[in-house]
Amino acid sequence: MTAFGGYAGRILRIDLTRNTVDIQDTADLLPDWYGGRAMAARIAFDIIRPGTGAFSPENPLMIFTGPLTGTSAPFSGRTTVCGLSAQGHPHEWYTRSSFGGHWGPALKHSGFDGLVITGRAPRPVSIRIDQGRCTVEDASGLWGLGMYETQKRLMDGPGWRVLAIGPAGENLCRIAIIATETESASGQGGFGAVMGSKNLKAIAVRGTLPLPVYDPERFRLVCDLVRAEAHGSHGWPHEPKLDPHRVRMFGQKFQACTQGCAVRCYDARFYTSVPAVLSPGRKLSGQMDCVAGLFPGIPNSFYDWKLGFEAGFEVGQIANDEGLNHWEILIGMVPWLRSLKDEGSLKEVDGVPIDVDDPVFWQHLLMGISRREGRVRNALAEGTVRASHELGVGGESMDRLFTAWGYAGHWDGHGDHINYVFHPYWIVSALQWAIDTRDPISSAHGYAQNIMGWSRICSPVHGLSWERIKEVSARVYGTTDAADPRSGYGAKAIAAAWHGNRSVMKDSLTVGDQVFPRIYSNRTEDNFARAGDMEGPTFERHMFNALTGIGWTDAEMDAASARVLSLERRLLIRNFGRCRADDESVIPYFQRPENLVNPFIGHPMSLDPQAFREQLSELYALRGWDDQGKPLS
Amino acid sequence: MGNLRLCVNPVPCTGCMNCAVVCAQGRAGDHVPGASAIAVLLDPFGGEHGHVYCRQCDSPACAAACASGAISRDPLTGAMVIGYDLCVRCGACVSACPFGAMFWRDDPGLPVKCDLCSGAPRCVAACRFGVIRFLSPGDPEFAFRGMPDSEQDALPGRGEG
Repeated sequence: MTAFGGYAGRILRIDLTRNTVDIQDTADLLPDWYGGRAMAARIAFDIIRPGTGAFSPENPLMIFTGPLTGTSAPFSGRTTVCGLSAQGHPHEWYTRSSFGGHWGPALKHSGFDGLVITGRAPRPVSIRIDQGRCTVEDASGLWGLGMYETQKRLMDGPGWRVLAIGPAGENLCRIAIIATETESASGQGGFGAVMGSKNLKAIAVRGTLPLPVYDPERFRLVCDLVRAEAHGSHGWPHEPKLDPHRVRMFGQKFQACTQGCAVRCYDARFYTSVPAVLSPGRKLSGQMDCVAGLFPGIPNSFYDWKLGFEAGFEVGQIANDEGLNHWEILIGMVPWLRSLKDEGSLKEVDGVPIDVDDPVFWQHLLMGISRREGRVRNALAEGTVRASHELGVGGESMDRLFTAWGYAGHWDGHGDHINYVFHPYWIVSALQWAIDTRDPISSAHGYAQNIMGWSRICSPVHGLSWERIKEVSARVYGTTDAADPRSGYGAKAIAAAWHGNRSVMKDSLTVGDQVFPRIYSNRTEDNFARAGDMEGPTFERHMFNALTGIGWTDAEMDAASARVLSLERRLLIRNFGRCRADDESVIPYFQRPENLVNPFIGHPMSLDPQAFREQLSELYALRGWDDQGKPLS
Repeated sequence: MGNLRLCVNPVPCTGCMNCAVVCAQGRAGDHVPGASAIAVLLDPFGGEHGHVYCRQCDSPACAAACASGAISRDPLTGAMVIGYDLCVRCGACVSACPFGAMFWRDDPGLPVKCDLCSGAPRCVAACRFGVIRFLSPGDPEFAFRGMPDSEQDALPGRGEG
């Protein structure tokens, strides 16, 4: 046990080569490395040597909860995966990827804050952790199974939660996921392939062990207040409704994409009865979250293929079961294939014509990628960016769709056409992308998505005026420039630095990214989020302090999070030679015209390289890094 | 005597587990899943989550099975409550409950049941989806069945709270 509340107190270190299990005291890392991503960074810096690759047995697959995971803190069921990434490009950079569901709380209640898995088992294995006991079991009979069947076979009764890979992970697809339930996935990063490279098929956990709370009364009060303050989906001002047609036809219902969720969500929907198209006569059930809503196609949009709901749902379930990354497929790969077809450089995929309106094509594509069948699909299993190089096609469209590091665009105003963001807000996204090793938005929705969602562009009825958004944001960033639609490059580094620290905080505590940080509100007169004696941006810290007893101030929590980013940066410099030139490699992507025009400007904007470089220098300075992006301490 | 009871409509349940988690926290202070007096049986592949909770029966089998007379009705809330000063930890009540809603907490080894939080159930407050409500059995919206429809309904087993 640790001296602090909220922690299980032990970290499991499993070497699959030697078939050994060791215990590390969580207390070794506290309080500085205060949770999931922070703990993983500390361990990674110590044990990942230069020259180690994503598929090296020495690459640690680190799966961590945080102090809030498994408690009554709202939106706190998430788990963070860290290690060298298979998807990373041009290097298999160190990165992270989190998932929801109910697995993390079960790990905590089984007595462990996290797992550090190294080595490579001589044959397929699974790990079973039950009330503090860990066993490594033969999984030869599970190898080749889809994710759903794998989980079902390992759920020996109530309370078991299973994390698994599908055939994509087994076959080292660089876009393979690790997932639990039907659609809670560590999607980006290719960690499914890292897990597959260790011959590790699944991790089953069960536990009902207690977690200590430092100040139970205060913690209960704080959690109740934060839960009651929760607004709509994504922390936005309005709550979505179910689609009556889909309720009637397919059993649509709201679903918590992670334990502790307390809102109706645009993204997380469960369907209990969807007629299959590719397998007539079958009824399918499962979650359809977030970007998966694009599988059916959306008329009059960039993603206007015509699978229809039933076929789209079924294709999405295939992607889940095979263990493939939805974002890569829907935002990057399929639009890229469609552009290749349009320009005539690729007309078919291993004998099947590219037809994105045909579910048979999608099935052929996805199942062939996960099983590495055929020349094109085997190349695509390397991720679209590597496939483009290998196949020698589609470089120009690749540059339009994929922002950096092997990842398709996301809230950056260019490659991703589903999120509404315009200049100057995507400048902050550009800064976030520049210093990261993956799509940074998974734990950084709090800036662009928050502002756009609270604006009257996205929320005409319940949204806020731009003047009010500026006033509220000034309380957070110290200047109205950070959220002013007319502010250009002003203060964008400040926002990028602030949200970078919040990204670490969310991945470390853990809490849901779509909801935190809470900034804007329609329940206070000045529209600044508050609950009880707490201001919105401090909710996470108040929960953390009441739970753990660590008692940090905002500045101390911020400094602890910034320390994690600096340590991750030092690892990248030491192991991969990361430098400013790497960071600036995102500039050409953002020099293209934006997708959505700022109404105060009236014409499409693109990145000004010089102004961006100045902001990048300022971001380095705010991080305590030198002008080449090297941490000074 | 209070006559409000928990009323569960499982259809809109999202599986967030807030009801079970806040119940455990409210009862034990720490986060002890075994301390929860309501359980959610997650159905991750079918999406139809089940709930194990006390009906505060008119003729409670738990009280009838308790030889030491430790289970009695709270005159203020109408909830059946355990008097731990009389409870001998025999577990007969746990076996007797037809709904599986009398739970056994391994550490320190005692039965756990819903006491309606002295008339303000925390699970109801924590549920944002109207799955768990606190209603009079006479309320038209009350879905109280009184007795199980089948043995399978009656004995869902130890929950997952």
